[in-house]
Amino acid sequence: MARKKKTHPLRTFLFELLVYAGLVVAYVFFVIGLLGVWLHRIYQHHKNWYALTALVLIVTQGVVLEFITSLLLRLVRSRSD
Amino acid sequence: MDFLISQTHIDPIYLVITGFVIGIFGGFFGVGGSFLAGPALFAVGVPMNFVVGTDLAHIVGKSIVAAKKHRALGNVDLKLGTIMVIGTIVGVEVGAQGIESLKHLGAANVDRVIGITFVVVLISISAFVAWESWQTIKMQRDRKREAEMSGIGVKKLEAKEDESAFDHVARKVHRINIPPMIKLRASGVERVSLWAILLVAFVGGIFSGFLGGGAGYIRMPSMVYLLGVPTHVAVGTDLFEVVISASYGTLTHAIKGNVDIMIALVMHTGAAIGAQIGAASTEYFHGPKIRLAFVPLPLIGAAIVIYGLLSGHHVK
Repeated sequence: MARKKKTHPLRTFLFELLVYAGLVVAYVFFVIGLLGVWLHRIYQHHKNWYALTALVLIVTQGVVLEFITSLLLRLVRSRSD
Repeated sequence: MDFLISQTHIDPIYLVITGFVIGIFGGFFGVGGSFLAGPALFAVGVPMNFVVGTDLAHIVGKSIVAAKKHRALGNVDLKLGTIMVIGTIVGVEVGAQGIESLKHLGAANVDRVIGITFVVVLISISAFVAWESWQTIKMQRDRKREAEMSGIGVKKLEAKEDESAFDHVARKVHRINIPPMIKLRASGVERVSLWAILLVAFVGGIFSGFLGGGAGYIRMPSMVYLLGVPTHVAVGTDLFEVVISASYGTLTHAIKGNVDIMIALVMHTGAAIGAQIGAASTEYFHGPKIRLAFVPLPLIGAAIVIYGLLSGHHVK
């Protein structure tokens, strides 16, 4: 039977954190960078739409990032067990 | 990175790290963390009106992450949270109207009055929670020592099984017999008056409306000591309530043009992972220890307000 390689939980966690940091950097520079100009335009001309869009964006990001971070933390646990 | 809406230039790494730290606090203690996020944004040149609105937007995203995690851990009492939202919103309006009335009456130094009230409340909460949690930990240690000396085994409490040296107050609140009486299954409360819950939420709301922020620093301990809700459930339920009340606040502030959603989105990328870590960490601590760790938080808030009062810079 092959011996299961033991992984240090802190090292695994730091690795997953690094993966998350990479995803965040890509997200900040590409997605948010592109949204910036468009959001600024509706902020200047349509405050009600801006308010609704702002709430939808933060709620959506909350749900999506919750999914990603849960997945990463689950991976950390399963790798360190 | 340029943030066009608030006309500011901020390093996104600073925002991500700030969000991460506040996320850990929020996930662990069930507070919005506006007393930390506010000064952190103000310090890098975000105008005050944007500080308040942007902070609320970031709190919505972070609290969704932490509340979902707590829900998965069985720490959210949806029934209690929904009732509390009603009391809180009414309280927030009353608190905000109170400030407006003071201004209309021409009360001198309104800011100073609010600041000093804030400091007194925060220090009192901190001192009380420190005393209570220390008494509870001491009580548990003494009981364990006595059991060891007499040779009788003592039942080891699970992390979520909570007790408090102040339990008798919650029992008195439970005995208030004003219908309708309700049962909070998720909190393990057999019978409590609906009006008691609404009153606790209303008082928290007044603080929120009068002093700003989400007032989690008063609502979380109130749920534990007055309603007898276990600490873990109080943390999770408070976060659930924060999602709704902060969403309402975000909408109203954004309509007034006080939200830079770009800053909130960047900050939230750090807060999301911090909130997960904070929420997951509650699994490893007993209620009194979580409460004892909570003690420095209101003191940090008080120190920030004192600094603002002395320097003339109103940080929050």
